Amino acid sequence: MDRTLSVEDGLVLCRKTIKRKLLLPTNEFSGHEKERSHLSDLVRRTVEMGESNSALLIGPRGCGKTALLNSVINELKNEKSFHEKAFVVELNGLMHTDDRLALKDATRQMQLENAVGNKVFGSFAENLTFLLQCLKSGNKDRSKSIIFILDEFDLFCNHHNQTLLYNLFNVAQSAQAPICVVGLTCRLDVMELLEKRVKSRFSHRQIFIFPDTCQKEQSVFEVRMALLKNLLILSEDDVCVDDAVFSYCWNCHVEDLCTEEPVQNVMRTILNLDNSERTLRSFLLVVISRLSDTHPTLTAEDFLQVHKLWSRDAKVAMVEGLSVLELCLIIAMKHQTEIYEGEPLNFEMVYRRYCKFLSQNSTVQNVERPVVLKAFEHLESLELVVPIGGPSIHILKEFQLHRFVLTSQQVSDAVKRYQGLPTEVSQWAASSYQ
Amino acid sequence: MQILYAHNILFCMTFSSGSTYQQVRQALQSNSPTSLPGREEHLSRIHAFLHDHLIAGSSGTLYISGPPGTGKTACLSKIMELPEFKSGYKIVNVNCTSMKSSGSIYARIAQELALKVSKQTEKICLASIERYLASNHKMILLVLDEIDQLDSRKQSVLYTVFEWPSAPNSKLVLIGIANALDLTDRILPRLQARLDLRPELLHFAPYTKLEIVSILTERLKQSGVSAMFPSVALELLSGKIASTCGDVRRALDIGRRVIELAEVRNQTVPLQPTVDHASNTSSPRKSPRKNPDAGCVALKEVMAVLNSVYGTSQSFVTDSDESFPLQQKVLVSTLLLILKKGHNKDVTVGKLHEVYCRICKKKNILSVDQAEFISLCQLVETRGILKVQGRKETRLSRVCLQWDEEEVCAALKDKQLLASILNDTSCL
Repeated sequence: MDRTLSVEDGLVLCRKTIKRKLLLPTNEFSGHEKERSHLSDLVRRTVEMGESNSALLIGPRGCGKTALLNSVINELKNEKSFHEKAFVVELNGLMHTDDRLALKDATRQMQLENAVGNKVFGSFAENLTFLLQCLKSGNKDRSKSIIFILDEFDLFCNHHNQTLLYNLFNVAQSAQAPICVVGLTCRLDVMELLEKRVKSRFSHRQIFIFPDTCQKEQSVFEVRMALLKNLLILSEDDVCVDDAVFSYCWNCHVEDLCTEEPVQNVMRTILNLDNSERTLRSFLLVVISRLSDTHPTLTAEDFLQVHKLWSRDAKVAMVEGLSVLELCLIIAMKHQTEIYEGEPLNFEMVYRRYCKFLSQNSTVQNVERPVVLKAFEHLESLELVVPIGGPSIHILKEFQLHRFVLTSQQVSDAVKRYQGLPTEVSQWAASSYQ
Repeated sequence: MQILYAHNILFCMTFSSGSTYQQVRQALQSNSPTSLPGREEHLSRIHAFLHDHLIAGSSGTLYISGPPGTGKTACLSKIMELPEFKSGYKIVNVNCTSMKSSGSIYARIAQELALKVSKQTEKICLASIERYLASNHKMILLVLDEIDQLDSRKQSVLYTVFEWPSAPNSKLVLIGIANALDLTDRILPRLQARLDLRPELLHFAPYTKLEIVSILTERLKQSGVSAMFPSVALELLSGKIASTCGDVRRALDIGRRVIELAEVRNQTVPLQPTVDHASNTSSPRKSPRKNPDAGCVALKEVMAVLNSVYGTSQSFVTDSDESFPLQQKVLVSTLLLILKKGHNKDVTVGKLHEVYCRICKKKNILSVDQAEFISLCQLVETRGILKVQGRKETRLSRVCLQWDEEEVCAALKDKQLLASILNDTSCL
């Protein structure tokens, strides 16, 4: 067998590897050492010493709450005694939208006696009493500890009377089977959602996770660049690239790329907007997808292009695809809102303004009123104008008041970019005296 | 990997050697205590109530109220453990939060009384309970915890339950437990009309500082580890808890966490394998083992835990400072500027964006377009700083500040850029 792969094969493999790295969350988890040890300490004490605990992990979306918890649980699962000593029950507020569903699933996951296969029997009240009796009959020496993981914790707070939360926290507070309740949420004010009796039973252990950027000797930006490099280079563990020469070349190239000015600028802009790791990952995914046989290396140009695509205004792009008549209506609306300072408008006002424009410019083709109305309705269906107070059957559609939702900046951008626009129209858009 | 390994070793060690910490934690677990300091008076009243009714064979109602964590359920369960009541009464103890609807309480009581019911419907269960009450039977002690959960239309369930003791020959002693002091007056006014229906009231006040101190010391003394918690630290902890809620559960939880902090600080350092020497901060010279009172809790740690429990909105200033993106900071300060200096306090996303663009232009920051701006608003919203109301037409939806204006303002004042934005009215 030929040891060295051809450049194309190497490229395909490399693209595959990096994409997998970007997409699949790994169990390795870096950073947040303090929070991590706090959490694993907590879970471990529940498992090994039968203490009951409750905690909330709080942090903005995409900051690694689930990754942190998963890495802790996985680390525990690797230990031999864990399966004999503990159960993990995972509930998600988006799936278990009421206590009945949550309870059924909890019963199923704990494989209690009233569950046969994957089916759970009994009504809500029966299931709840059964579950509570099971927990009550346990004590800390004999029974397994149960780790409840409640994802989207704030949604559990909306349930009727917060029954499930009350009962879980109540078990955690009294000498019953040892349980550990860990809630994950992105709301900082989650404590205000709890009822007072639930709040009293919760241990007030809140673990805050913010994107880990506060290392002392490095600035936020340097940490981010290190992460970028880490995501892009091919490491030894990525076994599918056994071509050492190729991966060496690739890594050198990535190193060079990270020092280039345009790349750094793009990264800085993204970081200023949103510092979660997930944004970076999805951005890089688009960048990596640009690799092909004809374009085998990443360049700064790729970053710029993707960023341009990324930061494009969707509304402007939508306006670019409209017909000239519809664009004329949009310009008329823009003038109308500018003159009357954001007052709502209806079709008649826009039509009058449009007619005025037509009468002064003989070169633009005259259109019938029904056609203009159709164009207006099309704009409404694209939600570039939004009716006030919803569509009403009592008002004729010509007189229904609407609000124009584009800014004048967006309109002038769109006019600038529009291909083959008649000169009169663009002049009309620029002047606001008509 | 190496870090994890070190971590594991560390744990094995604490589990084997740190037994005093373990004992303290055990002592501060919030399971039912054997003695209840500060509640002697309440205990004797409940005892007298149950005793009198048992001797006379009469029915009665007692309503116990008080904020959470003041020992209502603990007192009652302690009394119920006494042998004279255990044998004299047939005890039915129901926690009403585990009911699905208020009507299902009848089925539960019927089940506890071991009645034979043909069907589990509300009506049949109620009828069979009433039949049982009218018949010749043992004294019943019915304890309903969290009784306000039985709230229903026209309060029919609560009225029915409270009227049982007044039925002739019912021999039922009813004890209701809830948080609200005036529950019986507020939602059950009809009970006041008849003398024999009126419940006796017993209120549990929040614990005072001295009581919390005595509870904690009692628990520590029982497990023989009172040296771990110096009395100054206990006083500080109890004073803070008593001044806010008087909830003993919270005191115990915070005590446990303080112990955890102390444990982490005192982990035996010399045996700890370190990854690099730079992170090995504690040299053998500072080794805690040589210091006689190193094992006990420091005031600093008590303060740290109290701050983390009582000061969540402060995190904008301290924790998240570096991890809060620049554009989002500018957004928040723009909002503050409009709220403080602007004429129209009704801020929409569109207007916020306009002012924001002007500020960015002036400060020479790259501004983002509207679509991006809306997503920025939503990102800030997840932090709970502001709230965007009315999702349908995002540009017109209102932006409200969720946190205290002055507090955020004071936090932003330290930063040069943000302070200059706050003082610049020309951008409005």
